[in-house]
Amino acid sequence: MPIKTIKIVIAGPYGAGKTTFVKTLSEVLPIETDVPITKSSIDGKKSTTVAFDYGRMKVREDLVVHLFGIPGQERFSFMWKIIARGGMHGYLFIVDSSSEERVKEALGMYNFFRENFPLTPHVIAANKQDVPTAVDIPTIKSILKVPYEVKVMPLIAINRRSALFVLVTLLEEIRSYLLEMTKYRW
Amino acid sequence: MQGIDGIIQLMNIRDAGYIMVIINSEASIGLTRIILEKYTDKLYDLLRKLLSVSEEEMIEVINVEITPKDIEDVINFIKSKAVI
Repeated sequence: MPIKTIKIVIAGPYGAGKTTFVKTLSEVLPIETDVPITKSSIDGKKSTTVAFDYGRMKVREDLVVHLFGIPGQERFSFMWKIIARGGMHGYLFIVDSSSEERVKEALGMYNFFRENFPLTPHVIAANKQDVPTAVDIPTIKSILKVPYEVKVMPLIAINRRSALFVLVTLLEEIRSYLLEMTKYRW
Repeated sequence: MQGIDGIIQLMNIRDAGYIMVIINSEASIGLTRIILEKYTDKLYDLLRKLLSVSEEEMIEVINVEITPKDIEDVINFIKSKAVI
């Protein structure tokens, strides 16, 4: 039986909250951050621990969700495309919304994703909305020039409910996209 | 081979296809991040060489189609594990 893999990329600039987001989800959902080693090691170890930038969630015997956090620093930008391509079903773009400056820092990376993956469903998560100086959603939309149809969700990445809500919203976007594609095919 | 020995061995591999297979495997994610920290320059040079070939040559995408029902199952699974 072939295993179906749903690949979700967690993108966003350095310090936006990608690692925290995956870590919070792993505390509430059965997300494994231990991954199988490609070849059996000499000591018989079959898995290795990776940072919380990666998570794997088994939904059915034949259905697995992968969450890939990508390095946010500009100097690793050559990795963005490499990690994202190869069957990315959707991406969550996390922005540090604690100040306008931090939101502006995300513009380049967001444009990169929009240009390289124009049809891929995505949701923008405005993290750190609990900070008193947090930028409001309409301002974030304006700074990032977010298309009308793309959702911008408030996020507090350390809050389980908030992280789950954002993840489910992204999954709903992916489902809507797949439904549209199915209609188009017929 | 694991750890530093594995990384050194990996960095000596010049076969583009093999490197990409490793990068797309699950276990490589942690390894890739270690390499990024310790061997950024070498990896960058190697990946630049890889980028000169076409996407089809670089990555073999295994396409098992995901359906809206699959996504619905994921949403239901998440909702069953956590009260949103």
